[in-house]
Amino acid sequence: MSVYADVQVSRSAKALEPEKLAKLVNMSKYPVLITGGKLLENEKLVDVAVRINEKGIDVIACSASSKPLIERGVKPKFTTFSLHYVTQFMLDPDFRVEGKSIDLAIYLGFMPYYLSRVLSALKHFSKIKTVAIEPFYHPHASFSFPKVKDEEYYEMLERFVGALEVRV
Amino acid sequence: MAIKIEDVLRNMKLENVNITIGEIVEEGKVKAEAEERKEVREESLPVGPTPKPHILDLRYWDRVLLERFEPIYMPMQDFCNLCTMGPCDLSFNKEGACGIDLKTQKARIVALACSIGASAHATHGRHLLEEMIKEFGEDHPIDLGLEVDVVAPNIMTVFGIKPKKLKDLREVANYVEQEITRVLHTIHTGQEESYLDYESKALHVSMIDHVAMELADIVQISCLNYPKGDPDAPLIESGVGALDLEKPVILVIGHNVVPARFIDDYLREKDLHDLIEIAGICCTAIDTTRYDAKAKIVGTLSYQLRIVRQGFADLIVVDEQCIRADLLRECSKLGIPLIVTSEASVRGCEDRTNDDVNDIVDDLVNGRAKGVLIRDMEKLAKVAVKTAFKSFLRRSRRNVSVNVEEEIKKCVNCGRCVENCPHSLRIDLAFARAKNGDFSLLKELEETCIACGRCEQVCHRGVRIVDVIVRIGEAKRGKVRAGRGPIKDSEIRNVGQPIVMGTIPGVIAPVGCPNYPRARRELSEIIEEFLKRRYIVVTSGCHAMDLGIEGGLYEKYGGDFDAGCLVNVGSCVANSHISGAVIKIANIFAGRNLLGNYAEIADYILNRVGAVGLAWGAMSQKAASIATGFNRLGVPVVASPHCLKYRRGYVGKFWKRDKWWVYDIKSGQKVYVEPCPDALIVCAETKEEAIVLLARLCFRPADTYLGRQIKLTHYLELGKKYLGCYPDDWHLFVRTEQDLPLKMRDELLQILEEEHGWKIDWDKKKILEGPIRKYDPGFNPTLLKDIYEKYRR
Repeated sequence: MSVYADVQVSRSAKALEPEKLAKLVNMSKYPVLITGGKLLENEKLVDVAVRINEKGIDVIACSASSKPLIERGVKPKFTTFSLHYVTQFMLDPDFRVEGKSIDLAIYLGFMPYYLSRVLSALKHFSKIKTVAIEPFYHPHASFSFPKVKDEEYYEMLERFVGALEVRV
Repeated sequence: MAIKIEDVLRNMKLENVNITIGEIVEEGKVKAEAEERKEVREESLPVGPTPKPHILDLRYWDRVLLERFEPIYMPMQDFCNLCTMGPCDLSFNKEGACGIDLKTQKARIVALACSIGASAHATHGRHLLEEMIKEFGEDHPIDLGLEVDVVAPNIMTVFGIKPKKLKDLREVANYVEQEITRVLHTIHTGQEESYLDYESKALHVSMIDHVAMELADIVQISCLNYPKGDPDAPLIESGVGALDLEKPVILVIGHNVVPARFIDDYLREKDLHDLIEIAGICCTAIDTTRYDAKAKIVGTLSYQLRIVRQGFADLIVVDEQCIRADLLRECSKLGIPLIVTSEASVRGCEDRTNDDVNDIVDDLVNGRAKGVLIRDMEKLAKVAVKTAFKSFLRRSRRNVSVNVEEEIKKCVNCGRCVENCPHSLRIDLAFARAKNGDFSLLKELEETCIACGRCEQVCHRGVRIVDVIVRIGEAKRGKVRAGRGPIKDSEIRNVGQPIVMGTIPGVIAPVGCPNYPRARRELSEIIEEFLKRRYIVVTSGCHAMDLGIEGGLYEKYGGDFDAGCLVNVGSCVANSHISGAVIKIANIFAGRNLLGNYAEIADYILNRVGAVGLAWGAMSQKAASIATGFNRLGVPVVASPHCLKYRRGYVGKFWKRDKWWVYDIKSGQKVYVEPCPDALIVCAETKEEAIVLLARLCFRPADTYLGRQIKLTHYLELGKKYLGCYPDDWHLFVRTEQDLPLKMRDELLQILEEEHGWKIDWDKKKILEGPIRKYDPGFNPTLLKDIYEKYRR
């Protein structure tokens, strides 16, 4: 059991293949991509976020990840609020992004222990589906990549992005 | 002498009276009379509505805070295991066998954590108080120096008295202990049903924590001749590189200065002071150097394992709090003798207090006793010094060698260490690269690793990971300004107005443990950004150490409580001088009465004083209570990503307009205001994010237009620099075109018109429509109806 998970976990995330995760995203009404601080140090993750955004998925940039994204032409819906704030907002049923209610959130580029707590909050206190496309398995997410080696991780991200449909 | 006379005359309002030198013999009498008048004045000060507040007395203030800054819970466990009806699965906010739901259970755990933190400071304070009364007598005066008249702002505001002698503090300590027990009682099974009530308990006990810290620190300052608000307190040689390893080294670890002080006194008495290095880790290091500037600070609490494993400590003496729970085992492996001194941390050691000094020393040096408990401090000092000399002669026998290459070869990159690392550091990748001769990642790891040793516990190949990491690093060296204690009343007089008006853009207070999310140098990078922008920075504890050892900031920035300066107040308990300083702004600058008047003072601070804490590596329960105590006082705190593990934040929702209102005493209206501050405790993931957030949390509704302009300038500039754009919410802080930075005014007016739909008169460059409210220089905000009614009369 990893350090950022719990010994007593009531419901663990389903670890799914990237194509299946993408299908879930495709089926959702208003998914958003939430990006974290790893984008400041990993250009590959920036590239993945840009391509997800190109598929028509709005981005909420946390942890100052807005900077590399804006440089690549992305216009995040939020740039200023930390994941802690954004989670508090998402826990409120009245929260809207340009009039739309988030029903699924994809997480990319966060510290594992940090994201784990956020996923725990959403798991217990909201109905929003959470999808962790991180190199670590996240038991508190609704759906997660399994734990994989570095090289496999980027391959899985490729498959995930490739399977996303362009949203109109 | 001249200054003293002037002070006395000013006190007596006799500035124009001529006194010849011959009459100065009467100075004592004059001073005594002045003191007497002052006492009469002080005794006639009105006492506010809540002296010695009961656990429920300030609940109404908590409700006001919690309505705006809603708690957010991030459970660490889905289950409750506290009683035998469980384990209960509380997931999805289900109720357990006792009826408690998940949110309330999490709030209960937070209240428990804060109680633990407060109890640590309370016990520390009580110990110091009784020790000092034993030595100096109960009539020993509380004296923080000539320029500190408001000696105990927390005690005054909460407890409702101004303590003058040590004996006055006994009553305060009794109250502190009573309130902690009261809160602990509520945590028992079958008590509260609402998470808001547990939050109120957490806030209450954390406010009490600041009283306990203040008690502890004013006792030691008054009795041990610490610096008394001295901005030029000495620079202390710090870091492993500062140690003279040709001498025996006594390493002191913990938070309570008493054992180290006795050792220091003994060395002076025996004229051995220059022959031994006394070096400290964690807050004991800071307090020892406040007592003796020749002592050295080795580093933060994360240096414990690194130091022990390097084998140069000839004796380790521990007191209490934040000491590794495997210290005796680690010392034993290398034959380093350990002396324990506190009832809180006896570590299975035999009580040798009544044994002969030489017998104890022999047993320690020869390894017959791996560690001993000594409760008599005079005996401890003798044993410590003798043991250190003898142990020093055996230092070369300690086998600290590590074959780095062999250890690296043993690693199979399974990643188990990564999964168990509190920072999820990629130890596997660093070792894999090192196998190929590339040590760059390993070097990076050394900068980031807090040397907790969890990786070694799970490594099935037995790789000595910490030892490898430590060998890669270099011995750091720097200077830390000795903790100066209180902020002087005169400093508050100078900066109170610019802080409240906003022309000093804010007070940033980095406070906390060294459990940093990234390299330790990030803390210095964050802080230097604000020092260059002329914020006041006031620090304490392990953060204060890293700013010197890693950042070298004390040599670059002055120690006054003023714009662009860096103040180290001291150890954990000296945090009370930071809360004390913001309280003193309400008192000295604004003339608000302190005694028993907590809610009014906190309301004043929340609406007017742009002070923000930064807990960039908070780890302990004490850190939880310190931060929560600041929150009740109206001071927000930015915390590191690790702090999500405290499970609870207080985070407002800027987009809910009905949450952001105040009573305006001037207009007699309820007024919607800009969402500032928009959180009381909230985490950031990266230093870049933390910097922008800190700047935002310095806004206050009462800012003047000039102050708002300055704050907005920094917020916008920092947004551009670190977020790549202006922050999303900057327009919410604009009340008038005068709030806009001059050099950006046209551009910003354009954005307000085009992106936010505001109406602009371009001929006059005036905002016609758009802001949440209009700017009014006489705006006088409060969140409390009773305060509104009091000042409307």
